[in-house]
Amino acid sequence: VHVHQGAPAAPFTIAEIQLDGGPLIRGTLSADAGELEIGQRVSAVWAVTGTDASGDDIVEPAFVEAVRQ
Amino acid sequence: VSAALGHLRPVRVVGVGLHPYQRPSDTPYTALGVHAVRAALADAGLAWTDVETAYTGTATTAMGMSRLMYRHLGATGIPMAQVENASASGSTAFRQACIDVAAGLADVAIAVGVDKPLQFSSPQRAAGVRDLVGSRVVPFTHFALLAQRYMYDHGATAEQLAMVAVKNDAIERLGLDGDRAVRVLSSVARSETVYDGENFDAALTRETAAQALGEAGVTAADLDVVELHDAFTVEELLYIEAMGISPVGRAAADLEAGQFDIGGRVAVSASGGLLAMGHPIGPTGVGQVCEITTQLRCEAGQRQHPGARTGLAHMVGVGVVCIVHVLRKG
Repeated sequence: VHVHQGAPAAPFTIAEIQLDGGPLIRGTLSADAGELEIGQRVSAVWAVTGTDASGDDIVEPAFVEAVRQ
Repeated sequence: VSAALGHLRPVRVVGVGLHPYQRPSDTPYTALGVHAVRAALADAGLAWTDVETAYTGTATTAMGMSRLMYRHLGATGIPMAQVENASASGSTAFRQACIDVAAGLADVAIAVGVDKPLQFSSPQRAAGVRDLVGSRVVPFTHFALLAQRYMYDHGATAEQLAMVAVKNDAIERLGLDGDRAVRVLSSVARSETVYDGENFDAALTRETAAQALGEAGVTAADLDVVELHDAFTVEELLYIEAMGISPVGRAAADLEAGQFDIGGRVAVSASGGLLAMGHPIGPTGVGQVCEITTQLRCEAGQRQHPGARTGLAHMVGVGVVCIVHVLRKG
């Protein structure tokens, strides 16, 4: 995504992730994920995306190439 | 207990009217809608006082909007309601009108699609449930993912996908006239289930189209004209395959071979579709019925698909609802 209104600032990459357990989800690739291709295995790392009203970090999984784990 | 439309009283489209789609302007929705209603009544040879029930497909305008439009035609006391179903709002309004006639609740019903983008709302935000990608996936992102996957799976090229827009943009606009009836063979509405990783847009279309074709007693091979939800180029290819018009993975090549052109095997989006005729949301599904009726009457002029006898109208609403109608002349 090269043009986006709101957070996070573009550019970022959205991917469809087929989980080993079956479900297909959509998630953001980690900013340092590099060039991934369809079919590559990925895994998730926790990324801080903001702060909630209590001051706690809001985290979500971002995906990177699995072999880098 | 359930019954298909074809098991109830026959339903026929006897008049169609259209105000050309246009970019947002100062023209009030009442003027847009009344223009189309008057054209449809003139086409049918009916008066507003003959209309016994009215449904207005709309997604972004205002609550309670029907009365302010229809009162310009006469406050006749008929039941009226707004139908909101995202992009499928107009299709759903048409379906409700068909059901009223089929069930014997009315002999003459009208479905009108009208929209002014005064208030957009996000169902996800209203639902209060955050998902993993939130606002980062807008329709452009969603269909870019589908396009990338389609090209990966089937070897289609970006140029082939672009041909959908090129084909649909090259077609002349409507010219509506005549008063001959077109039979509504089936009307089916479904919503998404769980598809085990499969693209839900195509899976839902496959289910809904199969049911609609079955209830109409026709097959995909019988279709002469198809109007489908081609808001993005990849959608045309996905839905053509989901309807069984082309085998999975073949639609891009069939498109390139001209099979979906006017005069081809089946004319797809002869109106120009959502890409070229436009997608004002509420009116779009009703506009599809206008186009198919015009094609089946053989009154589409330079846009006419030769020998058009059976047509299919398809809309999805934010990918989670799907409405399919099958119509036939004669």
